[in-house]
Amino acid sequence: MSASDAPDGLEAFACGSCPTLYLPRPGPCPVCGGTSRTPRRVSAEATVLAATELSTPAEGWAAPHRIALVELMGGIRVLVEWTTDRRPEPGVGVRVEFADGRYRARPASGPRPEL
Amino acid sequence: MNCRVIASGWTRFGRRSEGLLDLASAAGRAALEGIGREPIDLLVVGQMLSGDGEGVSHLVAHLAERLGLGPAAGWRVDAASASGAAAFHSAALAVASGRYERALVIGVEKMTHLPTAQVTRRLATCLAPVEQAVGATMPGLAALVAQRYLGRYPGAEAAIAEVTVRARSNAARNPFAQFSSPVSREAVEQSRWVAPPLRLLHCAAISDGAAAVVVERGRGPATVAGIGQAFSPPALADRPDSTCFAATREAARQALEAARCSRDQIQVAEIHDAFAPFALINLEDLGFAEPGQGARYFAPSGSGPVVHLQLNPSGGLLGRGHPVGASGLAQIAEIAAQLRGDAGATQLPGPPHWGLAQSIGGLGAQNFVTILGAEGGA
Ligand SMILES: [Zn+2]
Repeated sequence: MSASDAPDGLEAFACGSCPTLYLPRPGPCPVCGGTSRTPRRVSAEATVLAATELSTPAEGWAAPHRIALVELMGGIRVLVEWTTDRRPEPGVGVRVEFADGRYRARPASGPRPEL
Repeated sequence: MNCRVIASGWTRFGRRSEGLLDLASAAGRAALEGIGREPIDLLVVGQMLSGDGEGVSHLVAHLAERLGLGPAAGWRVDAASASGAAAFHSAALAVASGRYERALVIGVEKMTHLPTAQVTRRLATCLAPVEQAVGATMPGLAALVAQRYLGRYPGAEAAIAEVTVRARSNAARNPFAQFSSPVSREAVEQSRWVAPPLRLLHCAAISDGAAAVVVERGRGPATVAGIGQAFSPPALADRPDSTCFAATREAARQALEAARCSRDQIQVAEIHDAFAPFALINLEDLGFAEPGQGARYFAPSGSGPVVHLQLNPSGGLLGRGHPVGASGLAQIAEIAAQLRGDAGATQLPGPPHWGLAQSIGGLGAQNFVTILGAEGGA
């Protein structure tokens, strides 16, 4: 499935043992350790908590490489690759996408980048 | 615990021409020199990255042979950048259990022979896979922690620069440190960006080196009074609070409870300042300062809530250098030497009776606290 025909929002899980919502992961619920869970879709709208620009990224990545810690509606946090030129300020609204095994984000308004 | 540190040894940290085995052997020999001909029956090695990339695996067996430890038992311990501390904890527990009499513990790493981007990638392999997948690095996540911290507690920038200034000033007195020259606050604040808000001089350098200690059953000036360790989720996004390291808080609680000493009694501490803002966070996590108050320790006047505490006399990771598998043990070796009055050029007056070492594994995924005390305190 390509990013353009993906259903709206992001795949997530609701823990069966506590109120936590979390993104797909190999392990159990990050809060209570519970293993029962129900699939949910959550909004891809998020707010930037912190963002930075790596001048010396790890081998295999081009400089400058930007990453951000963002919070989705419902309080789920996720680390994303920031796909536009300028590093976002904390508090900015963004849209998160999941493709090719990684989370990426771009400004909530504005053109959609090629993923 | 019924065990004590009776000798410390180091190589100089920095860019070294020797290989992994040579560095580890040199530190081991330096520690063994301090104990005469007493036999060693346990060898524990802490190491994070190096190994197959350097054409050496099963380091512990090679070291046992080189150091002539014939009948000793041994193992290698990995807890990322806290591997040296983890190796020490496992050796102390083994000796205190009565199974072994005297252990040689070595922490070692070889990093500078690799290109920086490759070291950065290797270091990042301890991060959560979901965060590695977006190109997270250790300095990158540290920058996000620092930014969150500065957002919650504005105005700490000057104190963060002062962390490096003091580290380099202390390192200039340490003949084993990577950096022998002090730096000014202006130099720190004008160094190039690594990952905003972190600049180059806010970050510990890639380094080679090894440290070693000998742990023996019994009590003395550097008795192992208390140890503690705890995990946190490896993914930064999974932590409810990214302005502190919960694993340090829990490790400190365990160590202080075991040592039955109060924070006010701790006179010297070696804390994990791999990134300068971590020094403030660590002081808070260890309970030496209230949340958001760590900067007061680094105020220009030196005033503040923890003024009795001597911090990182070795120069810390920022000044001494940060060969990742060695740092956690180098801290403990320094504290033990301070308590024995055997720290040479970095010796504090006294000597101090209580000291603490704090080591961070990964980006706070597994943290260790070690408290040494004269005669074991309580
Ligand atoms: Zn749960």
